[in-house]
Amino acid sequence: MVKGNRYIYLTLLILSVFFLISVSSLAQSAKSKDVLVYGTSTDAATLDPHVQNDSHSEQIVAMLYNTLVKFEPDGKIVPDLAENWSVSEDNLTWTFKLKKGVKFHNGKEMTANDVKGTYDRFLAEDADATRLLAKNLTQMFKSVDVIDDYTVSITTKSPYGPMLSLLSNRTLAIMDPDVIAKYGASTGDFVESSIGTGAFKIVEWKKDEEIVVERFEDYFDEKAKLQKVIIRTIPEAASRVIALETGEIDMTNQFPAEDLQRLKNNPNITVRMTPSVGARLFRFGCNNPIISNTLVRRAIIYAIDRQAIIDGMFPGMAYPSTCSLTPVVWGYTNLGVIDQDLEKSKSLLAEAGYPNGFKTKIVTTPRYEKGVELAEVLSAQLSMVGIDAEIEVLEWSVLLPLWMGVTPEVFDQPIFIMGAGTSMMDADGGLRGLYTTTDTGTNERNYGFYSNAEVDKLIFAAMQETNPDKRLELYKRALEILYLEDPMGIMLFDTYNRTASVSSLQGVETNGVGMTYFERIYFE
Amino acid sequence: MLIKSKVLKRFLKRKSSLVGGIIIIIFILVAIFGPYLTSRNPLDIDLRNTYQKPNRDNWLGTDNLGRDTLTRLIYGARITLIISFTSVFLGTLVGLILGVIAGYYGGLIDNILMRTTDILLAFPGLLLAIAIVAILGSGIMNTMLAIAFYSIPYIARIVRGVVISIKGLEYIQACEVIGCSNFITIINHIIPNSMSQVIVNTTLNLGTAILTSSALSFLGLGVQPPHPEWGAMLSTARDVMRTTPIAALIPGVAITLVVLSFSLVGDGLRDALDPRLKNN
Repeated sequence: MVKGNRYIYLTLLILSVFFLISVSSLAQSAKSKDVLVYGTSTDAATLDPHVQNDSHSEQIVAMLYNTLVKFEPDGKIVPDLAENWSVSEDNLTWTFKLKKGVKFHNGKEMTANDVKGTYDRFLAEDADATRLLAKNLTQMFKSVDVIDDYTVSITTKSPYGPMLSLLSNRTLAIMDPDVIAKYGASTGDFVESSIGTGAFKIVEWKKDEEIVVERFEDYFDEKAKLQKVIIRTIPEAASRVIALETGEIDMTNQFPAEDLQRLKNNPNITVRMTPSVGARLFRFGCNNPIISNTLVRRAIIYAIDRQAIIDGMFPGMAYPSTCSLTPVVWGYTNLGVIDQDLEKSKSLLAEAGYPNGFKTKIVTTPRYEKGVELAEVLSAQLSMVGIDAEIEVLEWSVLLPLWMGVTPEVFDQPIFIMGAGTSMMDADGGLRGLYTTTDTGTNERNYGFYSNAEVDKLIFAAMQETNPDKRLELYKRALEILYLEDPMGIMLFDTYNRTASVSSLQGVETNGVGMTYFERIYFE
Repeated sequence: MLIKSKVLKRFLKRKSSLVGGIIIIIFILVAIFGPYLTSRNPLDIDLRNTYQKPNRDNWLGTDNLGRDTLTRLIYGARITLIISFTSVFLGTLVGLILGVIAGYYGGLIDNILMRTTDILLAFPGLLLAIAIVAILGSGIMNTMLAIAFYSIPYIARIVRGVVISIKGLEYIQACEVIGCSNFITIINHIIPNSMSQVIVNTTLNLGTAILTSSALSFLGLGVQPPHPEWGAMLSTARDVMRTTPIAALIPGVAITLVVLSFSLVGDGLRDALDPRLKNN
């Protein structure tokens, strides 16, 4: 009897397993075609536009929030929350007419008061500049004033050429000041405190697992075509590619160079690549006594074989740098690829007083794609001109505090890895602050303590110049110095923004900053 | 002498220990004479020849930067050998001293030492090693220290147990009666008689040490690039597991083989040295 019962239970168990399997496969096939599963390597750190400082957070911020004006995929600036704008005779006051009927996700209407409230948050004297990245970017702002409910003006201390590019930056996205007041420093840390006007609203956030956003039905502009986007965190690159191939995710923005060819050959997958603002370089720590010598730095940039690095490690995913900015950044000038020239490098070293080379150090992190391997290659290539560079590998969390806000006495990174890319797609964002002399005693955003009086003068003159042709001229001269004459780093290669998705996915557009316009994506 | 040859006989009777022993001897020989086996440099980068499958020039293929995998494997054996032997030797030495002191003197000192080892044993070994490396920083030297440190409590505990059991035996009491100093008793009688246990555990620890150092390097905390280390080789090859599985397979098999061999030899030694079998 007891034995008989056992068999019944066993049969029941097997049946229920079959049942579960069939139900789950049913659910799979019933997956509606307006839900997109997007695989990414890292969860968003914060969804507070003013605080976020990495592309993963920025992408989701871009889905949830709007800016006054925005970039189209080709880099053109078009109206977003603002309908139109004008600038005063003296180039100091910008007046924006706002669109009417714009709603926040909490139902409140967005007006000029919200724009002022948003900007006042980081314009305030006591705003924490190290946390609120936006404060540093808006140094030239004098005040933001409400003229009427749908008109707002921004006054600057001096003329500011790239104003519209700056306002297109997601770091200056418009938030609901009531939400900021309510949640304070934890704004953007969870679902309830991440309220924007964007085409999508956030509905769920499981940290380091997934973020779920849904179409915002009251969106002021053309509504999103997708009903729902699930942003899933899959840290391992290989697992992300497998997930795409097996249909677990529909799209990803990051995959290793080794998988590029296979993905391209897969008829069910479409790979899209567009030039980006992103460049890979190794910066010089100019506080180092040897590296501070311009001749040494020039010697180093000629010791590197960039094409070999790209062919061997990033085939089809990058192209050699031709300037300290990438071609999609406004202000770019083609200064040519720096070819490896060991003779020139050696003679520059000899001239600098190091005919037999010297010992130095390369600091890198695995956080950047193949960051460690790049350092190994650089070290090997430098050894050809007699420079003996040891490699120090640091975790991101260890490295960041060593970079930010340190004094030259503390900073010990003669050559260090860096990813550059300005979110405002303008030379002002790509140069000012990064390569201009700091006067506070710490490096601030100029991690490598680069200092060149002429570069400082040119970059600040270009910032205040409103005539585009004259600005270009100023940047050209600054870039010649930064790239060749008094190098700030070893520019290696410029990257593509890349996405790989199932082929049925259409309307995938990514701009130079690497932001994908999710509201335009749909399944065929 | 008679006993020793008997031990050897018993050890060799176990086929698995014999195989393990042979693999270890080969491993040690390769590690010592590595540079004479290959004319290549394990750090020579050739970016035009990355991820080659095994061929005539590169018998085991090349890695992500076009370096010869066989050469790196050979040089890696040397690093692995140095790390495992040095760290285990250090750990055993300190563990032995602490274990003997705790076991021989007993009382308060025993209590303090053993409670401390209890605390250390509460941490998983690898976690403890990671914590130490996080404090000291990465590199070969610190990897060795980390592994040495975490193997101390295991050895100390075993030695203490052995010492306590020996302490009660007649010959130790005889030593006391004839007026030997504690030091002489420990050096001449206690340590030699607990040695068989120590040897067995040291052998087993060598395998664990290799595994830990590989794990640390795999995580990027151990040996720093560009030095060839098996765990680090495995870690870089992981990215191309699907396109070039051999790149991960080779260091993986090497680690497995050597660690397994040390376990087999350790087991064989334990059986061979078991005092209960001495008179058989």
